[in-house]
Formats: sequence, structure tokens, C-alpha cells
Amino acid sequence: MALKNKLALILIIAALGIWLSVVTLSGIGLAAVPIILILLVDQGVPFAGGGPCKLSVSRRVTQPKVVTGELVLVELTVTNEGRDVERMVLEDQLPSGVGITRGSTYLVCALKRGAHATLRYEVSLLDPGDVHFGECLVRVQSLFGLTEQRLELVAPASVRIYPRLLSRRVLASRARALSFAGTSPSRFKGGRLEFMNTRRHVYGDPLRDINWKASARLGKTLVNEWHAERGLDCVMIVDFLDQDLPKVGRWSARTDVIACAYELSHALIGSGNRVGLLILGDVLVRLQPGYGSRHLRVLLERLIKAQEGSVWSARDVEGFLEKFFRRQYRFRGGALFFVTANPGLDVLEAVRSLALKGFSCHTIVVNTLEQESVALSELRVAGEASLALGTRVARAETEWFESQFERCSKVYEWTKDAGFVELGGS
Amino acid sequence: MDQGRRFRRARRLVILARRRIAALLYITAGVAAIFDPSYVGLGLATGCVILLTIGYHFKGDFASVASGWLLYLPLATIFTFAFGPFWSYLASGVYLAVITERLSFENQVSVALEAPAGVDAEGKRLSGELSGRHLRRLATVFFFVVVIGCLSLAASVVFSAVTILIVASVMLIIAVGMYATRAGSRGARPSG
Repeated sequence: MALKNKLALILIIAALGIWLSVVTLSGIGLAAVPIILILLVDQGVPFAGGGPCKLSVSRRVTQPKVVTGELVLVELTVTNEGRDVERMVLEDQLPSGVGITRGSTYLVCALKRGAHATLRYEVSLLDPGDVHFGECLVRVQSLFGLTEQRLELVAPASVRIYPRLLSRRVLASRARALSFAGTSPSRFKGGRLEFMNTRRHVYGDPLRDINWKASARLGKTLVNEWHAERGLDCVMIVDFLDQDLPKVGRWSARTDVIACAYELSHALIGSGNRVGLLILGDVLVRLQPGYGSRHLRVLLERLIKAQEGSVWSARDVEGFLEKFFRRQYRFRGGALFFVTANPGLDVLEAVRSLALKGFSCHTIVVNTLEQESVALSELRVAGEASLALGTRVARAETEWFESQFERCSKVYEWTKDAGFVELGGS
Repeated sequence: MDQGRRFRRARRLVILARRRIAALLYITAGVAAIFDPSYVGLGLATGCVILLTIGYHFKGDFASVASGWLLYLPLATIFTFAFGPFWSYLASGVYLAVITERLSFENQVSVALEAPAGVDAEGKRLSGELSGRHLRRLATVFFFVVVIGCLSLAASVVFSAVTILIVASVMLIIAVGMYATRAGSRGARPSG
């Protein structure tokens, strides 16, 4: 049990008053009477009540999985399993990047034995990833707040935040940019998208392919032939390197990179391609190329869980492709998609090298200059003129890199509002 | 009444309570500065206003309590007209003890209830209950002080002023002993 400043102050006043009374033989120290009464009345109940203070906390979140911007209600319940608590201050500690939209993380109340109190607040979660709620601080005080006991209790709960899939009007250029026809067989086996010819029926042909009208007309059983749809082996290389991920204050380009990669993978898988994943950063994340919505979900989970770091860089990409994507690497038929927010020389060298080895390379530059500029102006670290100059320099740098990438790959610029725009393409 | 209006009302009530107590202390400081003819009184009242402003703004316990107790001597001087030279100290002490304690309590509660994003009904109710208990306990303190004062006053008819202090101390101990015993019997009873 810790003593508070307030107690020290009133004790000093009381002691000073008593001393002055004794010295001057006057009633100047009568202030000590209410002070000592306050102290004793305050401490009387805890002394008499006795027993240890035993509190337990539990936490509940309404939704463990949400989309960015969705609201989550958090309920933190404290239950008193020990003696009566005369005054309790409950303060929940929010994880970083979490903003409160409604309610408070602070509660002052009394809690009798066996009773419980619940702290409720609503948070808005904006950055994709995992948010872990954990510790809360409980201060058990006497009623007048003269003594205090601090307890740090843990009530774990996690919320996973998924990026919102941006659905926009598909421009002709974008549709062309994101529709690929490759050499690998698509998941739509024996695809029925384009009619090619009719031929004689042979044993084993499915009944649904028989062209009944033509068979009746010609007096022999004919079956339709279709072009088998072909997909492409794509590997998405997402750059989560510290140095390539702009950050200003609490804002980070990570959110936009994840949104871009998600949109790209959705478009590629939706076109019947197989999509693999390689994430550079703190821990190497790899996923073999695969089809379908289930694969897309796995891919999204990996993207969300990935953390930025400086361990695995673009220099390692070739080695990983050879090691983990052997077949795709050997046949050189696949396409590589580099997704980066702030392209550096490492990425440029990797793209050049892989393009020379026969890979079809695509670079997607996630343009976050506008958001970065807004974050800088909110922090007020630079004036308007400096910000405008900085934005122009950053734009020029990005354009230089884009021109270099165009020599060895197709380059697309992605922005939150406009989506994918092919640069320098027809 | 919808939830949002209730939150706003709760917030307004707390702000009003804090503001009223702070205003009372400001007025007390003003009165002390006017009626205490010495420069010391004026200086103490100025110090009180500065500390009170700091305490009100930052919701700090120490500054709020210290600001009140700076008025002890000037206020005792003013109370002399009403209670006489001896009992004015007790009156001043009781007044400041109650006011500063309540102000520091309201400061803490206001952190919870003046949250920018509001507070839910349960939080408001629990804080309200605690506020009531706090007020009742302060009333208990006031009652004890009055009882002790009356007993001491009765004793002072017979004995000298120095003896009053001793009598007051003995009464104080007896009163607290009685209170603690009552609290002990209540605390032993299972509740909740």
C-alpha cells in the first residue's frame, strides 16, 4: 500500500499546526483535528475490513476479426473476489495504433466483495494486422484517496484487422494489365470459355460435351472441343523492408502495401492464375502458388501477419525462388510481381537480374506520397513550402526509379483512389 | 432520454461540480485577500489562486489540496469575527479540509466522466454511487468535528484553553475508536 502526496501534505500541515500550538500555547493548530479525523476515518474501514485485495479481470471483444475502419466494442470486467474496495481506478492500456471512438478507458468506482464493474469502449482499427489487448492498471485506494495499491492485471484479447477489398470500376487499361494467359493449366480444367471445333466421339469423352444437334444432323456422334483455359504462375514479392516502407509518426505505408497486394492477388486469382507469395522483411514469409478463394484467404492471412524488418531484402529473392519455387524457376514461365512503396536500388537490381534470366517481371509502385505529406503536415514538422519541395523531390525520385524499372519490367502505379495505372504502356 | 443526451448531462454535472467547488475556493481567496489587512494574507491568497488554477487545469491532487490550505490563516482571521479568536482556527480547518478533499475527488472522477468520447451509463452510475459515498463520509468527518468542538466548548467553561486541546485530543481518539469499531462490525459482515 503506497502513501500518496496528498497524505504527506496534510500530515505536514497537521504536524506543523500541533507544533505551533504547543510553542505558542494557542489554538492555531486546531486544523489538525479535521485532518486527523479525515485520516483515521479514511483508514479505519480498510484496517477493520481486513483481508487481502483480490481482483480478477476478463476482457471481451465483440468481433475477433474485422475489416479496417470497422468498430469493435471492448468490455473489460473487474470482479472483486477479496475484501470490499472503497475506491478503485481502472485504467485500460490501449495498444498502439488504436483510436477510441466512443467510451472511456478510465473508470472510478467502488467495488464490494463479489461485485463486478465493466469498462466499455469502442475502438476503430485502421491498420491491417493483429492488435493485442493485454494489461490494465488497477489502483485500489482508500475512499479519500490517501493510500493506494497498484495492481497490473492482464486480460488478453486479440483482434485481427483485414484490409477492405477495394472494388472499383475496372478501366480498360487495368483490365488489360491484370488479365494474363499463361502456360499452366487453370483450375477450370478443360475450360469451356472458347469453342474451337467438333470431332468424333471417343470412349471417355464426357456426355455433356456431346453436340446433340450436329450428331443428329450428320448421323454420327460428335463432341465439342474447347480451348483449355490456361493460367499463369505468379509470384507476388511484397517489400516490407524497413527502409522501403515510409513511416511518419503513427502513419505507415504498410496499410497501403497490404491493400495493394490484396487487390492484386484478388485480381490475379480471379483471372484463374496461380498466385504465390514471398514477403521480405523481418521474417521470411513464403507461400507456394495456388488457386482459388481459399488460397486467397491464406495469402491474406500471411500478408496481415507479416512484420516489417530489415533481415530479408530483395537480394535474397532469386535464391528463394530457386529454393522454394523450383519448378516455376526452372521453366521460367512465371511472372513476378514486385510490390513496393519506396523502391530502392536493391529491388531494381533484383528485377533487372530476374528479367535477364527470362522471368516476366512486373513492378507495382505503391504511391503513398499524398498520405505521407498529410501525416507530415499533421505532425507540423515542416512548413508548407518545405513540404511541397519535399514532395516534389520524392516524386522525382520515384519517377526516376519507375523509368529504370520500365527498362526491364512492366511498371504499374497503385494509389488508394485510382487503383492500378500502367506507366509508359500502350 | 437517449444515451448520448445522458452522457452529455453526466459530463455537464461533473464539470459543474468541479467548477462550483473551484469557484467557491476562488471566492474564498478573494474574500481573504480583501478582509485580511496584512501583506502575508494577500500573498497567501495569490498563491492559492495560482495553485488552484494549476490544480484545476491539470486535475492534480497536490496542487488542489495545497491551494486550499494556503488560505488557512487568512480565513481563520476572517472567521475570528464570527467564532472568536480560538474557534476560528477549527472552523477554518474544517471548511478547508472538506472543500479540498471534495475538489481532489471531483478532479479524479472528472477524468473518467469528461472523456472526449463520452462514457457509458454503467460507468456514470458507478461513479455517481462512489461520489455519494464520498460525500456521506465527509459528512461523518464534519459531524465528528462538530461533536468534538461542542464537547471541547463545554469543557472550556470549566478548564483553561490549553486543557481544551487535551480534551479535544481525547475526544478525537474516543470518536475514532467508536467509528472504527462500528466499521469493523460492518466489514466483517458478508456483503455483495
